[in-house]
Amino acid sequence: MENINPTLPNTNFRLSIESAFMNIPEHLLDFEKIYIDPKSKDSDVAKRFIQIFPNEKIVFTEDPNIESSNSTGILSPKEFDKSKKNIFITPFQGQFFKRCPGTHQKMACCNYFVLNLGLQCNMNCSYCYLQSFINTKTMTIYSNIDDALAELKTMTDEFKGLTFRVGTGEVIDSLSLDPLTLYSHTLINFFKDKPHLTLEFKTKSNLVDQFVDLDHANNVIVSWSINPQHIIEKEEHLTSSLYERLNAAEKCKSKGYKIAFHIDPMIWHPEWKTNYKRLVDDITSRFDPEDLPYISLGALRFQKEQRWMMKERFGLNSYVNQAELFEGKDKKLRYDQDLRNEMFKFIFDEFKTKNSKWNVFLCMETPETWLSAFDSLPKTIDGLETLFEPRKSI
Amino acid sequence: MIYSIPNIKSFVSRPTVVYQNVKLSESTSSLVHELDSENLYKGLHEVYPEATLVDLFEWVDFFSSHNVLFDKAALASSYSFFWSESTESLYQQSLIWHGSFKLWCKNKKAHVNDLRPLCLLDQFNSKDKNIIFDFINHFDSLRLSLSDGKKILELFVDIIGSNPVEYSKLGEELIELKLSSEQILRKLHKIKYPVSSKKDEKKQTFVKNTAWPQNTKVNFLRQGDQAGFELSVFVHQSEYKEKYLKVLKESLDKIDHYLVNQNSEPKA
Repeated sequence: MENINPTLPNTNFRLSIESAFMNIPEHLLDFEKIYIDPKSKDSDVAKRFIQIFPNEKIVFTEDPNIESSNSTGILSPKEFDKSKKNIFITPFQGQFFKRCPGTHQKMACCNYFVLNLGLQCNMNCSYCYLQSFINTKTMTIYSNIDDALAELKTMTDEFKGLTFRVGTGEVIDSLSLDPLTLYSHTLINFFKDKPHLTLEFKTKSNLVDQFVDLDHANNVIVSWSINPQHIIEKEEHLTSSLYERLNAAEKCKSKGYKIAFHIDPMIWHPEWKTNYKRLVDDITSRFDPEDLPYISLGALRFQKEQRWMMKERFGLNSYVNQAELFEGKDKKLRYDQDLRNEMFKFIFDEFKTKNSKWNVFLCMETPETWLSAFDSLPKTIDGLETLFEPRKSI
Repeated sequence: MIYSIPNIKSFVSRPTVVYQNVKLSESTSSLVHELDSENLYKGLHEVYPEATLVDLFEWVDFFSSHNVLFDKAALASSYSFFWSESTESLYQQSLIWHGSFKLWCKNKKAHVNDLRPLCLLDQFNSKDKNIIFDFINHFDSLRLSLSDGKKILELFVDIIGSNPVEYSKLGEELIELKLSSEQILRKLHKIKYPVSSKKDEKKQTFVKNTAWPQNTKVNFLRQGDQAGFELSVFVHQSEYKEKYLKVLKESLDKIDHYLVNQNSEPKA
């Protein structure tokens, strides 16, 4: 099929409009409104949305919240729910690249750079930390990905010889909207001739078909946040099931992508041992340690004030409101350190019992927890030292 | 017909302040100062420089029921409150709050965030809501501080919301037992968090049941997400340094032994 819009650049990695339509899951067409900032109207992503969504859903505006009377502070639970139903395409005005938020002096973290290509998520996890800081009433997709890549190029040119890991799933899922944006195509192509850079997608979706057949330089990690299916059903609403995620991981693996799993956040519940053991069984029965560069672990954590939003949005029987949480050194609520150690050690031991080659590490944890759970710090664990090698600060 | 706002203030020398047939203040003076919608909030603020959340709710209720034109958000804002969805939810509930709870809220100058657990009542059925309302009506007679009241309210709403059938009589029991706020908190905490309560209790029992060396003091202590022991030695003579070190080591060994074995103890 010919490009029906002559203004759309005919890049070799763009899916044709026809195939793009065919590959878009139905639930992604449910957005109520697509607001497009006039400054973004000529961007590839805006043009694509205009092609995909019916005219009555498209609104050109600089401020999609102009009719809203309440414009201060954190969103209310209702506003937060509503913000997931609309999309605003606009250029990002600030610095795209940021250090991973775990890079707090009291935390031992994994040293990577975050590229935010949007804000908010179309899935609905009860523990989602976006609930504590989002103050925009519409899900946002940044249209100026080219500016982000120019920034990245400047940064990598300046620090030649250094390795960079770039992740896109901090404040928006890397892939859950990707059939609409096709940002995976732009990113994979950018990284294709830069083997010293690593791109990491982080997702709870199974939407990989739109990019899985692209050529890549073996420097793309597709990672999944995973939890036992029981937790997914109870707490990770509108996400793909565990089996869909594992299937997508197998598909990516078969096409030469590196894959990784983040068992994060681990959530305490009465049957946690049985369910997390089953999760380890599910992973180890389908993958070998060689398939996965690492598996990271993290436990439930969130800002104290976020608990109200969680209780009001997901009710009092949600597992995230069950075990007691205490204020940690980073001021976030966390499980008691002994309980966290027990949970991490349990998973760690389950993996190591299956095969000592599994690389399991902790994310957003204190050195004390590393020592208690693993008897060592990350830089001294085989297979993890490169992840935690300090890089020159940028 | 002229109405007066609830808890109206009287002044001797100031004029009576009126807005749309509503007296905002009374006076022995015959002078009347009539406010218009432009200066309502400023005028009200001059008469009542301070207002609690419950005062605000009472005015909103009064103005609404007497068809007085006003803006809730502007009124709230003039007293540094923000009329959010949570404020609206609490306002709607306040219409059926018992006077004694309103009094506690007023006396303690409770803000929206202090009462936030009550916003969850929108998810409750009327029977379960009444369990909460019946209990909070006793906050004033229990003489709860704002800090304890907030914690008790959060735990109580969590417990009733999670298991209303099992704990339908909990409020009544707590009142009948005539417990202190500390005892109520402990009891609610134990119900809401049985696992962590039990773990902390075990540590406390260990401290209590262990024979510690003379001059040493051991306390169970929680610091944020870490629970542990605080060990102190009373030192009074420098020549006993070796003895102090010995008792310290002896105590530390006992603590270490407990910590190493705490998870291997037979499970109850």
